[in-house]
Amino acid sequence: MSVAPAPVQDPREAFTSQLGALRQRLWLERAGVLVTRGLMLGFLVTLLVAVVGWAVRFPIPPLWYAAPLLVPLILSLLISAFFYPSAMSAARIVDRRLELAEQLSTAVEVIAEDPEEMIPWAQVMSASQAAAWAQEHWRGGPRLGRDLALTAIFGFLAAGALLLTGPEGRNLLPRSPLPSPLTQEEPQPAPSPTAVAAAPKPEQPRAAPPPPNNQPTGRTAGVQRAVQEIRRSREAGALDAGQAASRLAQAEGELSRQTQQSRTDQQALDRLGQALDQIAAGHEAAEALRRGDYEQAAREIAELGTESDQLSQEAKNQLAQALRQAANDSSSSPELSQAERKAADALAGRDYEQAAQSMADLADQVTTRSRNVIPQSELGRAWDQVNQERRAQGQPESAGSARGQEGQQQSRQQGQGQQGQGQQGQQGQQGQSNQPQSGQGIGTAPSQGGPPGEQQADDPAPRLDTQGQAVEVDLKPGDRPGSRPGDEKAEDDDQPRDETGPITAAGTGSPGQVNSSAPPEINFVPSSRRDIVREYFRGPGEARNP
Amino acid sequence: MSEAPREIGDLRETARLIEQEVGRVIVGQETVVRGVVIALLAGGHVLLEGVPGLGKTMLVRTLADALHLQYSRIQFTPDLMPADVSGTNVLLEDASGGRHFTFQPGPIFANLVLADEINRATPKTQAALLEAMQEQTVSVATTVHKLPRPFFVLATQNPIEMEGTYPLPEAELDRFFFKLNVGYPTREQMNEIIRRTTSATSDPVHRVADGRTLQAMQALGRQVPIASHVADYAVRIVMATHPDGEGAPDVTNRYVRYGASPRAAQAIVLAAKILALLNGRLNVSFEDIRRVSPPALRHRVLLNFEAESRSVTPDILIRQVLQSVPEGG
Repeated sequence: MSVAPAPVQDPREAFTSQLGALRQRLWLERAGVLVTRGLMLGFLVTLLVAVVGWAVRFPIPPLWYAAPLLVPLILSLLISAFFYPSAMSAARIVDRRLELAEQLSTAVEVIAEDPEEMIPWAQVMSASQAAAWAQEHWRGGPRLGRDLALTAIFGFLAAGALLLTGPEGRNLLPRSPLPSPLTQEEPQPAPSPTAVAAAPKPEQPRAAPPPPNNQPTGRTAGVQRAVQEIRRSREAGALDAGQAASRLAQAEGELSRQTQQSRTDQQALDRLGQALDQIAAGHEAAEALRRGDYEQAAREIAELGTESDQLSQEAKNQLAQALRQAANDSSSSPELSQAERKAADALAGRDYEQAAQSMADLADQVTTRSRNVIPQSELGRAWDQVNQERRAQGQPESAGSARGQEGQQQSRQQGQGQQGQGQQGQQGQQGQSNQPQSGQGIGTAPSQGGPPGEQQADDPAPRLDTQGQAVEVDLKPGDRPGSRPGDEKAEDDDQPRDETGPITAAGTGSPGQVNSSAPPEINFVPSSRRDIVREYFRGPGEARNP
Repeated sequence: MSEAPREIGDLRETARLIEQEVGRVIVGQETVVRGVVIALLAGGHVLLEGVPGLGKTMLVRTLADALHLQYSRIQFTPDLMPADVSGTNVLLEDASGGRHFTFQPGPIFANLVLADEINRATPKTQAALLEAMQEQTVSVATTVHKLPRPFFVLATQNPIEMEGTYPLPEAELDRFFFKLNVGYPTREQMNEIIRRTTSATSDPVHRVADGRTLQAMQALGRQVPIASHVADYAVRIVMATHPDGEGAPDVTNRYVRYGASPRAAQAIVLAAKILALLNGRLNVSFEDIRRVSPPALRHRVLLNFEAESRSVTPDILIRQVLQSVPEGG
């Protein structure tokens, strides 16, 4: 059997083949470095876009997040494709990296020169073997590892930034255009009870003119701005229908939360007002709570504490019992409930200091809780904006809003002496339940801002912000006529009267208020003249508040 | 092509044998011996510098013994005349009574010429070597006489500071391929020198190569390829020895009066090729260039007075030049 001799390979072909593999390897490595750097740059830009977009609350479409990542990546791939290493550059790189004593680069030139001597071709053969050795003992460039590490770091940071601030609905730290009202409008620090008590009673501020529609203010300003921004983004095409609907739903949810919180705290404050109204010394505080002048109410409560030693023990016990009852009814506001309970205990005891301190704490709680109370008119504006946007998006009007309208209607019917039936009727009766003793107080229909499914049968209606606006003054049924011809109301009240039903404060846009089965008298009384009106309607046996 | 590895193997073996035979007599000085062998295989002349008694002459004599070459020795003295080196025309009378001039070759006509203490001759006599070293010819009157091939001049000299020495002219220095500094032996080497030279017996030196072999090896060495960027590295090194030259470091601009000539670059590349072959490689590397640069440059770089006053030697300067010139230019 004969063995055929192994074919002698041309050194030129052998070397070119080996070097080609090395060139491909180098190209892949270079492309890897470029792509890695492109990714690094993309991650960095994504990180910046995410953080800046979140910081300035700019609505960033999802494509904007992809662009910084994709553009450098594509560019790096293109550059890599156009920069395939030449034979000489590849040979020199491999020579240097693997310390091949310039064998490969010399062989490249030898092949190019095509000499006749034997030594150069022997060198090419030797270089071919060196190239094969280099394939087996390949060492990656020093940059690749470093770049990979940096890319991993930037990628991690960018992913974190996207998770925290990325597209809506997929982030942990919403960059939503729904800023929390608490962050939008920092509440003023609550004055200490002593400072409240010592501070001079300021004149009741006149109502500010309603803000223009394009400049929302108040606690729901964030939601209103968010809705406006959704509308602008949608009209500008920055949001598609799904995104707009998602964001609007988020805004609506936030508004519902605010509405519910406002209602809960207002109910608790109303109950406190009813409790304070049990004694003559608490009438001023109760009245301030009814008006919605919570700063004044806090001052009155703190003052009531400091003057508690002047109250008879019977009055203190009566107040304590009423406060306990209010605490039991205010379980939804546990802090206020606890403050009421402590105040009740202190009043029932004989420790003046403790009583004064407990009442001061209660005043603090009133101030704190009052920050969550949103005027009804403001809630109405906010819900109007939400519903307008829903209609613009082709969605049905908010169920909560619709229910609120029904509640408003029911309240009006109740104000006309019709007892409401069913849930709406119960809601209408909440105005009554808020004024259990004297029939005084102001109840509002839950219509303005009732969130979907949040209206409870036993919830009192949210309070109408009446400062500087129309005020209805209740009559004690059967005590006095509803009005006196020629009194001061005449100059304010130029609206037609309906003696058989509630009279809506025309021109204010506020719903009618129903507080008792008897038709109330509604006057348009400026805030500066309310005391005169109250004095007028106060019964002969009722003394002024001490 | 399959013959190339065999020839390369032969060259390496011959070089090893030469170094081995020299090593029988010369103790240590491996760098000097390697430098001499490289110069021989490159066809260059060597200038050996060192204080007396370090074995410079012995090294050359041993080399001549190891190589089957015509050897002659010229002891340079202040009264040596150029004709004493190159030869002269003498008037001879033949049997018929006729008279004619006949050229009487001088000791320069040999394959291996030992120019011992070359710097003790006057510059005029030293200059007699110029043509021989460069052209490998000798011109006497109007006749040009070719020197035998291969032709090597191995000159020894004492440091210039010693009494009775004349500095070699720059033109002649430039014609030396390498200048090798012969240093003092170490303690162990000196003990070995004493043992060898004071005993009754001595190892005979065998002839391991002849002139034809050397010429073949020289031709083989020149075939070694060198990449253009490696050759450019050698050129940039030489350029860096030029004051205000391209890539010249500050030390060059400050201390160098004249930089190395293009012969320096030729010597570096040629020596690097031989070194690569001796190291078993078939191409020149950057490292080869760096290793052969000092002996090829140190006698071609002339320093100024400031360098001498600051004890800056050519070797110090070359080291800094090598550090300042990057491989990838």
